[in-house]
Amino acid sequence: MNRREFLRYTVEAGLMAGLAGTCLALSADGRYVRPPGAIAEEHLYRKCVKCGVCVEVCPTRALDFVGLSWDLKNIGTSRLNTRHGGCIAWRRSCLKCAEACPTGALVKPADIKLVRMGSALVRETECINCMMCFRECPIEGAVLFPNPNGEPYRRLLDIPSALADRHSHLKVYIDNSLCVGCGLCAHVCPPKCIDMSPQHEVRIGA
Amino acid sequence: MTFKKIRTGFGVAIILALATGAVLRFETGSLCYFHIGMSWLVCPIGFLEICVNSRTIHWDLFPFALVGIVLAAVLGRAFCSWVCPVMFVSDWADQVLSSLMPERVNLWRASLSSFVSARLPKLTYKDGLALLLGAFAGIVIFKYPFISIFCPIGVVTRNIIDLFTHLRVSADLIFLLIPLIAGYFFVGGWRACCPAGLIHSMGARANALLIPSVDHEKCAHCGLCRQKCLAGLPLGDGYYDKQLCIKCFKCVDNCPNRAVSLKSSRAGDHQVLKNS
Repeated sequence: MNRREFLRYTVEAGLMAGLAGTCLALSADGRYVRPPGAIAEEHLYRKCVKCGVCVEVCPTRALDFVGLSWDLKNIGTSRLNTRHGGCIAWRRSCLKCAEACPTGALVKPADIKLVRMGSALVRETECINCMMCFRECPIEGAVLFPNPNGEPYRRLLDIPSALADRHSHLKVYIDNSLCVGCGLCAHVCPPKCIDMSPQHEVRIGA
Repeated sequence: MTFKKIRTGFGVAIILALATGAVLRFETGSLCYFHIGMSWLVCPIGFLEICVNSRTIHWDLFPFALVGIVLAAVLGRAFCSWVCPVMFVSDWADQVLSSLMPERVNLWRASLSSFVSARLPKLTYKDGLALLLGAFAGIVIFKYPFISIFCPIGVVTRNIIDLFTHLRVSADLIFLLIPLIAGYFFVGGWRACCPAGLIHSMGARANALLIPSVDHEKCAHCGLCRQKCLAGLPLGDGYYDKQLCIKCFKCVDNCPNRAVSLKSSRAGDHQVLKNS
């Protein structure tokens, strides 16, 4: 190897290393509702090998890949997309994504009840009080209906049909302290007026 | 044409395996983590990347990553023409494109490519190695998952899974333009760009199995083998780098005089030298 070749290879290697740094520097910070058992966000994209096995095994097809976006460090990692489905881990014992993950980016949690992926929020103006979210929610008391004379209604059959009218000013709301962010309500919601926001505080350590 | 049929069947089978896994919700994974029944395969580069990035060695995956390296050493770059969906898809797309386009456009396409690549530096495996080592330096310094995001094989298999689970493909397919443009404008651009192909050719350096050799008594110097070679090797005459052969058997299939055969390099005479 002569000096000229050495210079060429050094420049090439430097360019690639610089490109990696540039990608990381340009990368926006996206926030996603991750599958149950996902490790903390700042470790996840480093441990995930983007093999897609979690997307493959999900029984409800709720997981998909983070596509092309300015969040350059999370492209190819998996997230919950309520357009395709919701997570059924709280309804029956399904943690197939965490079991399938080869690299430990998803770790099977010891107790699913302690896991929170995010939380849901109903946009009241668009809600039609169809009560689909009430039927789908796996956590009792996470979806509530306001009661003008006392404690909010926790069960569907308690709600007087006169109150839960389509045009009623009272709308379904979600208790953020109980919601686990499974996204089942957002998936079935007919007017698609439930937004999911990720919650990263309660996560298994790296 | 027998080898062509077997090879096409193999390529289709790989894509079908990924597709059935995705449709039936099996844990087949993709080509960076391939898992059917008891057999596991882990991409050695992906393995190295997550080990570097998470600063831990995943010992549970190590044996399966080693299998990948051993296979590369034994089979050489056979992965490229027999398994790799990128090679399969691009080969197929090229055939379709050139049959659809008028002859003049095809000629123009080829001449533009040769015009540009004659004026640009020729890339060799050394450039590829420099690029890969640079990428790994970037991974070490910035902890950025460079390879697993941009690897062409990963992009294609990810989109195969997405296609068969959600009936759509993602816009990250444009990452494939990087190796395609490199392959179009640079001589040897493909092999410098694809990290998996590079690792395979490094593994194949010591390998001496199934090297194409030409029987000069039968050869009519028609040049078909050289034209059809997927790796662009100067067969027939001249010397070429044996590690670059991807065992696609196109030279054997296309020879009208049956003068090309694949031999082990110790048997008989053929033109194999260490460097091109």
